[in-house]
Amino acid sequence: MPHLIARCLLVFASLCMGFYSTAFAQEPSCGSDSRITEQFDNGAVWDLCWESTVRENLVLSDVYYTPPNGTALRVLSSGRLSQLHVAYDDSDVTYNDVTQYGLGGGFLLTLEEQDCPQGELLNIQTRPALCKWRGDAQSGHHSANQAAKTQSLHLFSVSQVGAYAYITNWTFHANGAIEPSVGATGALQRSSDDTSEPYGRELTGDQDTLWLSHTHNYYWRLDFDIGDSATDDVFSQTRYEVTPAGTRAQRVDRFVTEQALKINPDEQANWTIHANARADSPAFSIEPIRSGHRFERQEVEPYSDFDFFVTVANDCERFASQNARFNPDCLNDVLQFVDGQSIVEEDLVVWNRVSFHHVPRNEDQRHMHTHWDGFLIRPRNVLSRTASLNDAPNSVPTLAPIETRYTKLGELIHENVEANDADGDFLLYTATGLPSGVTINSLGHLHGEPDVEGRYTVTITAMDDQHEAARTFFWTINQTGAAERRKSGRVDVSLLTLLLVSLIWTRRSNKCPARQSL
Amino acid sequence: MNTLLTATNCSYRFVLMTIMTFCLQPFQVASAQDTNCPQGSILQQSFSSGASWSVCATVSDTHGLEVSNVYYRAPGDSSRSVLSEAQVAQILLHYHDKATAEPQFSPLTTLTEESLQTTIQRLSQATCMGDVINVGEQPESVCSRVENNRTLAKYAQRESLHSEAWELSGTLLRESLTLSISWTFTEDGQIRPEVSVSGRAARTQLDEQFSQNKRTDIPRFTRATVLSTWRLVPALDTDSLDTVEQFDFPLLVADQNRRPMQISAITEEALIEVDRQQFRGWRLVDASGAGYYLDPANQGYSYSSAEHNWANYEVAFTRYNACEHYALENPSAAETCGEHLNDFVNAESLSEQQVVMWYSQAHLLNPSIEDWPILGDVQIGFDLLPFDWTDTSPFEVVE
Repeated sequence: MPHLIARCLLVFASLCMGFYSTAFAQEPSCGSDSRITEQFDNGAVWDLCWESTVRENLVLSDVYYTPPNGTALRVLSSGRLSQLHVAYDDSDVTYNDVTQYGLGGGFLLTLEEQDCPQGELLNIQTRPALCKWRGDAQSGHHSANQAAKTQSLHLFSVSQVGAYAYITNWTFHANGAIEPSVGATGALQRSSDDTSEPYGRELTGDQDTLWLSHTHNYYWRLDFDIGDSATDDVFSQTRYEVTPAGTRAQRVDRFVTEQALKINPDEQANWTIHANARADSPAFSIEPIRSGHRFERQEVEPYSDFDFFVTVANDCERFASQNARFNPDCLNDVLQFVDGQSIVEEDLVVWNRVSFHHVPRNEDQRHMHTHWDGFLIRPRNVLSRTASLNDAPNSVPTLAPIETRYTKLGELIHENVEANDADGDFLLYTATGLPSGVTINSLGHLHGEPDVEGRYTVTITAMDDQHEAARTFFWTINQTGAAERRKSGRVDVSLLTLLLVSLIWTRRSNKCPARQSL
Repeated sequence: MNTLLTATNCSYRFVLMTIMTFCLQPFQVASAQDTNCPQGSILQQSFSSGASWSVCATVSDTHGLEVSNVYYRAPGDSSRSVLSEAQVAQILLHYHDKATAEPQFSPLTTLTEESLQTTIQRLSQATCMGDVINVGEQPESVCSRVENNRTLAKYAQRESLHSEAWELSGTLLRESLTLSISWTFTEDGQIRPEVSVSGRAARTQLDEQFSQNKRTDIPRFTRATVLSTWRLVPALDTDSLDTVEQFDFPLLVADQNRRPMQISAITEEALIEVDRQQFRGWRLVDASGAGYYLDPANQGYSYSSAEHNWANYEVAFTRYNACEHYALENPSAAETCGEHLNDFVNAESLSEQQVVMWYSQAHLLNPSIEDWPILGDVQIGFDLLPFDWTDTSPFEVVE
């Protein structure tokens, strides 16, 4: 019952803080045959609509996330792969697979049960072509007392474009993260008869053929509509500058016009879309982790010089490149879409590019093992706590008071701090303000030889997975290891107490032998 | 054990190859058993395809879970050596409000076992989502788990190939954090080392420059950069010494924007930066031509350090020296050893020498409300990819 009350309070508090959507309908607006609703063990729910288009294949829309113990939050108006650009190292051929061929329609492969062994096949038009399955993510959390993998919903379909088979995948994690990815499998596409060229590799058993190296550039188009309005999202870039002092200071650039941005590894730059102008509003951030390869060919494709774009939503700005091919009244590529429009009080679309350079190896023949590329969209200020935390009631650890202590300079410290936990949880210990030369480990073992005199204010904390207990005490390191009169002439209260107790004890001790002698 | 191949189609050659492999050479598996691995430390995993891995695992306070004598057997192949030794050589935790980084492994300050600031977590069913196993003299120190490795391959209307991966992990406790070190060995020969930081954040900072959380009812945890550095000693395939090739693909604007492949041998000890624009990568290769490729695809962030020059580089190659184990705080009692990776890189020739590869990755630890009370895993890992290890895919499909 107390747990239920706590949950209610949490939901109420969340609503009061304006965390969650109110103006939008609280659920996707599509028929049951194109709607996917997945609830996880922690209570979180993903709810969305999907369709397959001839060009992009999977297009997700009206994407809502309900956090554990929370209410539905609109996240995306739509999400799709908006181009699959493949550039070969010999520069003879460049493919824009989405617009030249398409990932849907006739390029979509019919899937069999064996292609979706752990899930359910859904029909695209009249044939099974979408696999929906539940699994564990690679990530989660682990502590001294528990470990959990985040549950995830995976949606994928496979498109055969030339020799390549592209697995278009969207993963929705129970912790609120979204992970779009593409797996490239099938077979190598292009080769050359001129094996003297430095643009590829000869593979064993195929000596007269040079299989050409190439780069896959994946562009995703994400129309964020976080929270209660499509037009109040705010976009910012966060950087962490190294200061002359050696610290890293946060710098937040909140943009007011459309942007084309490059990764900035040195300043660990990442991008965030907030639901509104409040810094504590729900947000989703993208960290460009998979950026070890970065394709540039500015001279012929200026947009390739950038990794991330923010534009005002425009239905005819659909593809990252070759857009005008299907939208003749619109501009042709994503860099052209960035033309100085204000993004204040507008519906924002972000475009994220991930590159992967593929060097052929023997193992790629005849059929390649899948190489996956994608990125993670992480929630911030969306959940109220760690997503998959064990819900069992938890007691606060107890730590007995620690008295003021005195230690001689250089004396070996070798002892344990002990706390208790009614639940039997494993406790971890930390400390602040310890005398120089003394450390504490996670198990509460104090060790070392104090090497600097002084009076230290020490706080020791014992913690389980959810709570902590702390005690603060004074620890004096001096030449004698005993309490001593301060230079100011004032006597330490604890020392005075000690002396008083000693005096009483001594008097009593002295009296007893006297009586005995009597 | 799940079946690697869900197909029943007899046209898959590897099914036949697997059967032949089992019939013809059931006991030809070279493994960690052939070496000096301590009793109880040899771990093996076989998959239904015939693929298998064998490693010698050890767990220590100052490296976490390390592996040695790593052997991979591809379906239809024999068991072949891949790595001689591999471990995390240091983890730096650099809180953004501090000028200096804190090494998480402190072998220099070891006085007694109890004085170590990093301790091994004893695992249980609550903290391991697989099998808890004893390794050597460390009870309940390793978690072994076999997991789905998604679609291995798909082509046209042929049924998908699916594969599994074997993950070994061990966890260290450091302050209130957990540092989990895992090694994932995939059925198709990839090795995925990873450091995962979780547990409870304990450092707090009110200054918004260094902390993120805006909610007032929970602490404002201090942001940090985590730099994990790995030490990899290859022992590829045959007994001959391995060499290192660096691959670069520079853009030649004047030559029609072509990208010629440039392969250069690393013949001398060196500190090297990633080059994202040139798609730089490194291949460790045996005289037989069999190799493994380290592709720094997950290098999104860089680390910069005024105090540790080596930490400004993502990669280093050194000549093998048994006492050069830690990128920082390396015990240097022996005269031949330095105290950190910068000391190890001193222009020695790598020609005809056992080479050691050091690889560093930075990641941002930026706690939000979603990380309270326990941090979501901050994962820092990479892939070692078989590169011409076999002549074709060992899971080859016959037309």
